[in-house]
This record gives sequence, structure tokens and C-alpha cells, in this order.
Amino acid sequence: MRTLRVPLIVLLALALSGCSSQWFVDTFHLNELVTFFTAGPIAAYQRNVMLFTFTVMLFVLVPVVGFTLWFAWHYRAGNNKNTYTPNWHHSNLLEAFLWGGPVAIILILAMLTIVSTYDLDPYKPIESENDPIRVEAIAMDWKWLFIYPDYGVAAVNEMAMPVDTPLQIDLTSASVMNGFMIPRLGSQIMAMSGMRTRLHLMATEKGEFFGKNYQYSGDGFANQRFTAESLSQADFDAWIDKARGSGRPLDLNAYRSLVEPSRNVDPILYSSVPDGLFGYVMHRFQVGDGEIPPDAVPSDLTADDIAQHGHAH
Amino acid sequence: MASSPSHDLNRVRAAARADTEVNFGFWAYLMSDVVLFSMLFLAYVNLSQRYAGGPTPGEIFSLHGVFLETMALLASSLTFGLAMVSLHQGKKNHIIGWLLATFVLGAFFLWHEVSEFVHIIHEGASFDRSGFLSAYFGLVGTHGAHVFFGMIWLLTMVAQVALRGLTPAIGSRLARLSLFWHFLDLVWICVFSTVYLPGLIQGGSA
Amino acid sequence: MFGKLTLDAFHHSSMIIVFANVIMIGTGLAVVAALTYYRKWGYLYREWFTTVDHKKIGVIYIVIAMIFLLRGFIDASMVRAQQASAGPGMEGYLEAAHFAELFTGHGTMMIFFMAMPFLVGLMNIAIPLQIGARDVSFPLLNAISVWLTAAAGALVMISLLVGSFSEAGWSGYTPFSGLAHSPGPGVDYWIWALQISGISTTLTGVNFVTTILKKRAPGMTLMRMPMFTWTVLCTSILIVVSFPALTAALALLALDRSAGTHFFTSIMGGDQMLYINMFWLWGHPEVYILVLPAFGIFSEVVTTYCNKRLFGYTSMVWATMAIAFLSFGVWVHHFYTMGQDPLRNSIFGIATMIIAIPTGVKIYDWIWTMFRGRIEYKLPMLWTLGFLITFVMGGMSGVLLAIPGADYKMHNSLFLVAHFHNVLIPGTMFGLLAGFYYWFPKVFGFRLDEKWGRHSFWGWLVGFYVAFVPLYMLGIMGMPRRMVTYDNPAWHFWLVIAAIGAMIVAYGIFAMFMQIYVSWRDREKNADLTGDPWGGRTLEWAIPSPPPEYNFAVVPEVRDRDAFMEMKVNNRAYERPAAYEDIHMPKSTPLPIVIAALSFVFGFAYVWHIWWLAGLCVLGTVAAVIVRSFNEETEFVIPASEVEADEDAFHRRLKEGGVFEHLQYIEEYGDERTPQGKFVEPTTRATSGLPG
Repeated sequence: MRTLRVPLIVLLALALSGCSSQWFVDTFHLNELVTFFTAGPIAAYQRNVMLFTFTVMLFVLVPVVGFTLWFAWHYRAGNNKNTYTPNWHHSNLLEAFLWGGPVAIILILAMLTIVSTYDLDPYKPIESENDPIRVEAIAMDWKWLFIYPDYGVAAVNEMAMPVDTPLQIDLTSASVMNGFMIPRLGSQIMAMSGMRTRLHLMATEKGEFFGKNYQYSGDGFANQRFTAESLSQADFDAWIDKARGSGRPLDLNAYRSLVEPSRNVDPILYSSVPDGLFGYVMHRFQVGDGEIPPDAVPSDLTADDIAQHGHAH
Repeated sequence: MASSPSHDLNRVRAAARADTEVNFGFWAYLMSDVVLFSMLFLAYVNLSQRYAGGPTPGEIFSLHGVFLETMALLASSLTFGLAMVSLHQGKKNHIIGWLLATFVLGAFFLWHEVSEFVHIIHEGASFDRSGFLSAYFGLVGTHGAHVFFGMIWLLTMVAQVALRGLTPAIGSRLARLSLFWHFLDLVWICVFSTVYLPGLIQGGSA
Repeated sequence: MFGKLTLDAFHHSSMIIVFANVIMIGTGLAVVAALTYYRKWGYLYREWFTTVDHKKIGVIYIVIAMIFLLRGFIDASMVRAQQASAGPGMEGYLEAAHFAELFTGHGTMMIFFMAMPFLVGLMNIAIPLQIGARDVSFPLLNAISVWLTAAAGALVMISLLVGSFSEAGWSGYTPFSGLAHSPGPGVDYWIWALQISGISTTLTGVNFVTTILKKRAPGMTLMRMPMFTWTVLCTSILIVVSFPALTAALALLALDRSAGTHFFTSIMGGDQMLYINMFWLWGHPEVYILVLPAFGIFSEVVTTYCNKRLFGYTSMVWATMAIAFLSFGVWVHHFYTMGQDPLRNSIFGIATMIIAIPTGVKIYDWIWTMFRGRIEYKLPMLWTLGFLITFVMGGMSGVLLAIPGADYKMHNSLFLVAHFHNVLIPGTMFGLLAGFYYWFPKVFGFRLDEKWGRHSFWGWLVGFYVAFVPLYMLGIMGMPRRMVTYDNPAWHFWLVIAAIGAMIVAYGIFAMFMQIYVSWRDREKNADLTGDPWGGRTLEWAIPSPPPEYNFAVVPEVRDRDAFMEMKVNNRAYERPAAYEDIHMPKSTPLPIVIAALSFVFGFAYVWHIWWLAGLCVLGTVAAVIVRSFNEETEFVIPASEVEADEDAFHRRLKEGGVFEHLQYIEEYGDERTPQGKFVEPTTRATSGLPG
């Protein structure tokens, strides 16, 4: 090994100087580290939490690895010149440091936890000059239905939002548990049948974002993804108009056939949605077998009918 | 090998030590059973309001039946206690008598419980009707299953006492069965106060 | 007559599964043929199938663990191969359903049939020896436990041939694992394999709590117990208190699937989140059940190979108990994203982080044990160093995920997968392997080959980093776990690297089996004559390797934490009594294999709804137990003369190994001059025969 050491160092130096930082980015696809390249305040906050925690944790990592390697080398059996104290096994001072150090680090992180958990509570509305847009998301096997109750339109595997405008997303499932996430916007939340969860997101830049169900849900899981488009207000209005003009209403029959399992579903736009469909889907899981009966009138349900179950608030 | 007196003494000490060891192990098992039941109580408490449009506790529980069951089980604890008293007095036939009495009371309890289950199911309130009913049958049924296996154990012990007499091993087993039986009584008290009492208070009497 | 079982269950559309079956059946037949040819069935039945000896039971556990290490690893490699061969414009070679079976099977097998049996095996081998006992408290129960684990493992195996395995993930989340969404037999196989192995583990927990608290040698107070014994005590308590939660969750899920109840369904008032709470009420303590004994092993290894007392023993004990206690208060961190209020999430987040404090203390205690030691780099010490450096990174990502705000982002991504592998592989797997190398000579009387062992270590360590650093990267890139296909080229790049990592680990596993073979071939050369190959500090090293059936000819008297070291230093090691006594030991019995066979058939019958058969098995089990309860001839006597003859032979070997001269040396020159209790390697060892 010793003979190889010098050529190796030279080679490494050459390799490093030869590669630009761009080479690294391209080779290792570093521009895809979406957790760091955020497009909204929630995701940015989360990135900062992670980076802060990582930095604090370096105060654990570096000493542990350092001491381990140092002692492992220094006190090897072959090195007989070192002090050897076979019966030394206690030191109050040292123990105080060993307990105190981690306690201090965890104290800092505990404060961060409380503050960040309240700030990032998915149920907490995002402050903005613009009024939030309501979206109702229903997870199905294996696609997402997004209802825009304020606009009376709906879409499958595609959602749109005006930039700099908060979204208030209510979620439920018409099947198994699903996890809704748009990585560049932040925060995942579960969608569960018979229950409603809520998530607030906002995009501060325009673009098309990857969105997906993150909770394994069966054969079609891998392709259960959608595009979230962050548009200018004008483009968003145009998107709504495009949906309204699609001439494809989501009536209960259409809903019943949509909810059947299907894979690799291309985006669909719906021109209209029955009032109260989201609540009705929840309700049918609470009191019945989850099926929508032929004579259903979703808008007849009151909020009391759709009582909340379980932990979701 | 010739056995010296000190050697015999060692054997006796070892046997006594082994006895506390087995009892300790049985307590540890009972702890695990406590956790099992607490999970079922957790399930019941969580699901007890989820009628899914089906029957409510007030519509299916009958205070009369539950009262009889509770009395039978409490009485069976008493008779088992008397069996243990007889054990300490070394009265073999009394033990068998009290154990059989315990068995009969247990059988009465179980018979009553099963006939109540059958009755409820016939009224269309089966365990597949709602989350509440599943939890009810699950919790009460698990307790019933414990009673059933306790009764098999009882019969086995009756046979062992009858055939083998009062050996230390059998006395020690009876002590553990007694623990088990009283434990089931305790669980039943919890079932009564978690399931039947709130159910009847909330839902009015049937 | 056969319930839902029809010939269709034997039909497999995937050639890969057919091939796997051919291999499985072929191997099985070859083993049966070999055993028949060499006339080993009688030996196996007498010495292994009916044994109640804790050391042999430990070996059986570890054999089961090794088989499932291979199977679990094959599943992992197939998952890696699929994700490396899928990608933009590529579909890979697996169907989605088969892929799901693989990741479910991998998790299930690695946790329930590799890590758990491995760890219970080491517990079985070491605990009675460390506490100076002749057996566990309930040897028969112990044998029932091991064969129940085998029966549960057999259920997983047979699912490959008859029907299919679960696709619902190792945690079997409802409502996906309910009948409506998983109608096949897979989830039922999963339920009964887990249920049977879970019951076996509960019995083990009861057994070891009792053993450790009631069977210690005189003088061994609680605060003189070796660290491994302490951690196993905590683990056993955790087992007794947490496994019934799994038992309940699985039983109710089985009822949902077979009786139509609505505990966890998404309809008719069932509560899917109830299952998830119950599962993690068990599941989180389970993490510490797996990790704590490994921590104990590291403590033993560090003290032995650093030739030093353990630094901060009292701290270690309190840290272990703190971890065990706290492990029940953190289960919600597995599902921060289910919409609880921030108060609840922050409480569980902080509780989770607090566990990092005692864990950190333990890490530093090991490091400061190395300080001013004489560190010998035998295999177990290598694994310990690998653990220290790697585990701290897993802990770091764990603290990151403990913060609900960060977890909202990373949940269900490959970051999470990387994190728990980064905790479980160094924390549990490395610990188990360190324990394996450490105690192997004790059980078999010869040491394992160092060269192949080092190959294995480097294969595992390098392979680990190459396989899991990419998974961290992929998590940060937002890739969800459990994807059979995807179309992001960036993900593909890192998944290919991860697959290469899996291949490097494969070399590590191969080297380990080579090592076992080579060491067995050279067993005379590697023989351990003295029973104390490492200069051990605890009681298991005071007796011959392999130990006699009764372990201790005379129950030792403990005067120090490092009980055997104290004996060596004060020259009372290997003392012989004036006269030996008869020893009473439990008799072998076929009851455990009968119960296990009935459990296996019961599980199989339940999966296929063959109710009459399942009923018969329950009846049979009850009947077998009752019949056994009438048997009072459960012990036999080893006469004092036989014990004395064994001891004579042992002392001849000790003399041959130069032990007494060495003890003399320690006495004359004291402990500060030389690593205590280290025997000089005698040159005569290679030529002398095998012990026992």
C-alpha cells in the first residue's frame, strides 16, 4: 500500500481538478435533490429544519467517529507504549459530560420540534394576501380525483393552482390508505376512507411539479402519480375554463365507473361535480359498505351526517 | 447413588426454589395476558360508538343475563378459594368437590354467555354488523374462551388430584390455576364496567 | 373437504417462482436423502429434535436464522435488481404483485425469522452460562418456542409453493391487508406465520425474565450481572409486555378476514387506524427488543477485546432501562402524517428524541472503554467498530425523522428505508454477527477462521454504504419506497449503485458461509482447548467448550461484575470441590415437535379455511399438553462420577493449554503489566485432539 500512496494522491488531485462542479451535478443528478430545491414556503421551512438538525447532529457525529477511530488506532494491542488501565471504569466528570452533552443537544432539538411542528401543522392555514383555493382530493385505486368545489370542476391525476395562492386541500380515500405528497411543495398527509384530513400548501414559483401517492396501495401504486401545475392567475382561470368546457360531467354514474381500479390513468378534466360528493363518499364508508347507491343525492347530507371519526380533526 | 440427608435437604430446597420460579413465570405470563386484554379493551373503547347504523348497546344488552353471569363467576371464585383452603387442610375429597363446584359455575357462566350471543345474533346483531358489535364479541368472547380453557384445566386438575393425590407438584399447579381463575374474575369485572354498565346507562334498558 | 385449497394454488404464472420452488424442493430432498444415506435421522431425533438443552436450542435458532438470512437476502437482491433494471422506458423483470411479495417477504423474514431467532439463539446460548445456571427456568417451554418458530418459518416457506405470500408490506397496514383489498391467501400466511412466531417469542420472553431473575448463581446481584444479561432482561420484559399487542392485532385482523368482523375494515364502523396504533404499540418496542441485546453483545465484546472493565456500567444499566421504558411512548412517530394535532406530534417527537440520550451515552461508554485499553482486532471487535461508526449515522437520520415537521417531508420515502436499515443493520445485524463469532467457540469447541471473517466483515460494511447511501440520496430526491417502476433517470442512476452495494453484501454473506466451512474443515487446528479462547471476563468462559450438558459441574460463586476475571486474578478459577454431586437435568421429549407440527398444520388449515383440520389441531394440542401434565418422570440424573470424569478431562486440557502457568503469571506480575487473563498461544495446540 505504501508504495501506491503517492501515485494515488496525485491521481485523486488530478481527477478533482479535472472535474468541474457541473460534472458532479450532472453525474450524480444533484439537481434532482428536490428536498433542497423547494417551490413553496412549507417545503422551504422543512428544508431549513432538516439542515439545522443536520448541523446540530454533526456535534454528535464528528466526536463519535473521531474518538472511535482515534482510540481504535491508538490503543491497539500492538502499541505497547500506551498507558493501560485495565480496571479504570468510572469517572463522575466524564459521565456528567456523556449525559450532559446529548441532553443539551436534545434540548435544542426539542425546542425546534415544538416550534416547527406547530408552524408546519398541515391543518394550519397559510398566510397570504390571496384567498385560499379549496381542493377536495379523493384517493382511488390508482389515481387521484381533485374536486374544485368553488369552481364546480374536477380533474383526475392533474391539479392546478395559481402561484402565490394558498391551497386548502381536504383529503379522503375511496379505497385504502393513501399518502398525498408533492415533494417540491412539502408535507405529506394520509388520505383515509371515512375520514377527512387537511393540508395547506402554496407554490411560490410557477412550474409543473411531480405529485404522488406515497403509501403503498396495490398493483397500480407505482404509476399513481399526478402533475401539479402552478400557474399565473390568468392561466389558472384558463385551466378552469378548459375543464368547464370539456363537456364531461362527473355524475354519479361516471363516479362509479371512475372509482373502479385502473392503472396508468391519463389526466381527465370534468366540467361539473355533484354538490357534496366529497362528504358523501366519506359518509358511505362511515355507515355502509362504501358503495354509492343508485338513488343517492350527495347534496342532501348535512355536516352532522358526515360526523368525523377517529383522530383526524 | 446413596443419598445423604444433606443431599435430600438440597433437593427439597431446590424444589421450593423451582416452585417460586414457576410461579414467577406464571405471573409473567399473566402480565402478557393483561396486555392482550388491554388491547381488546382499547379496541372496544375505540369502536364502542361505531354502530354503522346498526343496533346500539341499549338494544341488545340485558341486565338480567349479565347479572346472573357475574354472580356465577364471583361465586366460582369463592368456591375455588374454598378448594384452596381444603388444599391447605389436605382434604382431598373436599378439593375435588369444590373444584367440581367451580367447574359447574363456570359452565353456567359460559352457557349463559353463549346463549346470549346466539340470542343477539338471531336478532340480526351479529359480529359482522358493525365495528361496535365486532369489538363486543371480540372482547367478551376472548374472556369466554379463557374461561373455557380454564375449565379444561380444572377438569385436568380434578383428574390429577383424584389419581395422584396431593403431591407438591399438584398443589403448586392448583395455586397457579387459582391465580388464573381469579384473574379471569378480575377481567370480567372490567368487562362489566367497560362494556355492560356504560352500554346500559347510555342506551336505556332493553 | 379442503376449504379454499384447490390445485390452482399450485399454479404459478411466474417462472421465477417455479424456479425458486424447484430449488427449495430440490434442496429439501437433497437434505432428506443425505440424512437417510448417512443414517442420521436417529441421531437428529435424539440429540436435536427432542432436546431441551438450551445450548442446542440456541443452535437450532441460529440455523433457522441463517436459512432465513439467505432467503431474506435473496428477496432484497431481487428488489434491488428490479429497481435497477426498471427505469425510464424499462419495466424490469417483475410483475407488480410479485415485487410486492418480495418487499413484504424481505421485511417479514428479516425481522421475524432472521433477527429474532438469531437473537433468541444467542440469548439461549449465552444467558444460562453467563449467570451460572444449568439451564433456563422452563426448558420444555424453551423447546416449544424454538419449534414454534420453525413451524412459523415453514409456513412462510410453503407459501412459496402453495398459493402466495402477502403483498401488504411487512407491517400489513389495514385496510389494504383486509379481505376486500387482499383477497388471496397471502395475508393469511403472513398473519399465521407472525402469530405463531409471536407466541413463541412471548413464551421466550416469559422464560428469560424468569431465568434471569430467578436462576442466577449465588453472589450475582442485579448490579453484578454482565451487560448482555441486563439487556436481555430488558428485552425479555419488553417482549412480555409488547408482543401480546401484536397477537391481538393479528388475531383481530384474522377475524376480519375470515369471520367478517369489522375491527379494522374501512367500512361498517371499522377503524383502520386502530390496527396501525396496535401494530406500532408492539412495533416500536420491537425495534428495541432487537437492538438492546445487540448493545449487550457489544458491551461484552468491547470489554473482552479491549482487556478492560466496562466503562460506566451503572450508566449503561440505567440507559438500557430508560430505552426500554421510553420505547413504549413513541409509537405515534410511525404515523405523524395521519392528521393528529401538533401537540400530540410534538410530544411523541420529543419522546423519540429523548431515546437518543441514553443511546448516545451507551455509545460513549463503549468508546471510553476503548480508552487506555489493549485492543485486539479479533472479528467481534471489528464488527463493533463498524457498528459504532455506522450506527451513529442511522441515529442521526433517526433524530431527523423524529421531528414531525421533517418527517412530513421524508415519510414513506427511501430516506426512511435507508434510515431503518442504517439502524438495524449495524445495530442488530452487526451485533448478532459479533455475538456469533464471539460465542461460536464456546458452543462448538473451535474458533472461526479470521481471514474469511475479515472478508465477510468488509463485504458487509462496504456493501452497506454502497447500498444505502444511494437510498438516502433517493429519499432526498423524493422517491417513494416500494415502487416497482418509475421513469426518473436520476433515480435510476442511484438505484444501480444501490444494486451494486447489494452484490458486495452478497460477497460478505458468501464469505461468512465459506468461513464456517473452512473453520469446520480446520476444526482441529482452531480447537479451543481451554474453554477461554479470548481471555473472557464472564462465567461462560470458566467452563469447557463445548460445555457439558449441565454447564457447571459446581455452581460458581460470584464476587464481581467480571466474575470469571475476578476468579482468574484471585487465583480461584477452575477450583475443584472436595466431592462432586449428582446433577438432575430435564429429559428430552418429543412434545415440542408435536405441538409445533400441529401449529404448522393449524396455520396452513386456517389459511385455506380447512376448518375441520384446524379444529383437530387445536384439540390435538390441548390433548398433548394434558397428557404431558400427567407425566412426572421428567428428569434424569447425571451421576457425580460422570461429572468428575468430565472435569478430570477438562483439567487435563487446561494443563495442556498452559492455563495454570498463565494464571501463575498473572498472580506474580499483576494486571497492570499484561492484558489480564490472556493465555499465551501454546504451540502444542495444533497437535492436540479435539476436546470432549
